[in-house]
Amino acid sequence: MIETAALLDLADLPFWYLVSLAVAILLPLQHAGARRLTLAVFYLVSIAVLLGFRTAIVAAALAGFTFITSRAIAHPRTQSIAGARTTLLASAMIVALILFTTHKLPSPATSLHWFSASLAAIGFSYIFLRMIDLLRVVADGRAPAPGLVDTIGYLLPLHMLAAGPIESFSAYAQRPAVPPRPSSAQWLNAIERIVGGLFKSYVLAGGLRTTLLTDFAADGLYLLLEIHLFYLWVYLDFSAYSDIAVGLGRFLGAEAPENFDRPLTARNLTIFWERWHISLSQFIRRNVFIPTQLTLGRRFSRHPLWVTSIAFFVAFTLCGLWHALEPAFLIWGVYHGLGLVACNLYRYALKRRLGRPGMERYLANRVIRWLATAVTFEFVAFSLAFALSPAFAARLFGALQ
Amino acid sequence: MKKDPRNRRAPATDRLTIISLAWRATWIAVRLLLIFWMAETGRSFIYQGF
Repeated sequence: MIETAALLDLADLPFWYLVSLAVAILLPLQHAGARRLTLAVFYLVSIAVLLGFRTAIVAAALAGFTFITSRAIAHPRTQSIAGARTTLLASAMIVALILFTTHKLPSPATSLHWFSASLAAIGFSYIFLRMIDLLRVVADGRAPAPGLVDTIGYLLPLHMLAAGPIESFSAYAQRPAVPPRPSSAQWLNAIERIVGGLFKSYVLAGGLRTTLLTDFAADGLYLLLEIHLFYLWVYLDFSAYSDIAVGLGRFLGAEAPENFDRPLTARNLTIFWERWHISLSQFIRRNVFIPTQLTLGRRFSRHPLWVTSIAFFVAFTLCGLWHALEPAFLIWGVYHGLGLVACNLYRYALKRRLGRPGMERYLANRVIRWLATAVTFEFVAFSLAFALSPAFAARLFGALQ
Repeated sequence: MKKDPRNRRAPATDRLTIISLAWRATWIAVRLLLIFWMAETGRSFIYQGF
């Protein structure tokens, strides 16, 4: 992991001062262009104040690069030259990938350390995905190339910097220019979302961490219990950030998509990924799974099950590496990829064996549902402990030797 | 004699809304107090530099 001096911290009061100021300015603004400009300035100024001037320059440079590239991709001349659009898109992706690798690999102890630190401070992993989504949408002609202000607004939303969600560029482009003014009930809901998120993070997750988690130092039954508590802690903490982002987005008129929907009760891994870090799952689906499935499907149309299995495997191996370029996350990605393949094959076999009425009875069976939910819970809990806690991985490898 | 409308009790739905509002405001305040109390408990896993 990259060590940085400054990371976006919600316990910092200046963060809340800046958000309050932005809301106060944005509330009476009814002019679409003025609103978008205000938001873009707010994002950049907040990054400068909270994370440092250099970091703001890096963020602005990333937005500038994405703006120029997307304009070049959408330019009529590029469209008229055979292969130019693909070449430009591929080149931009390579640049983004180099930056991503720079961000993920250990920070060099050179004069470039500040650059890596800046990428970490703005959560470049998420910006990287937004860059890819924007460039692909523009290259496919699904939305026009955005202006500089909109590029900043899409790439650098302050409330979604720390831990997502990752809004799709298509959804961003379709946002109303001037959002309808929230009713008092909607204001209250937004406040509850923010307070609820802070409560989840600082009280529930924080309390759980300090009172019940031992970083897998305990033995025996408590070690097993801790795997489950660790999963609960990650869920509480992570979903808390999404709650705060959704609440803040409503205040700012820059809505953040929902990112969690009762994932702990998912009955299988496919459903789990439809409910956990939803915006990441959807990104993977749009940009890795479906393109892989389509490309392979054209060549091997007689083997759809194999094609889907390979697409799942590729998508989740890359998903693992997106989290960290480390063996633990590679194994985590492969593990989830294989889990999804198994889930898909099992469903296929069940459908063939039971037929539609039998399948409906199977899905309605309460005992099977409880069992399936428990198996899914265990599968995910174990994978999270392995990937996120080096102490647990070390104990596991120690026990296996 | 007709009742003065100003003396009428609030309809049940309005009373419920007031109760619900009061409850939600109290719950927000309680959570905020707990948040300030617990805010120093340490960093979350989000801060690992994703």
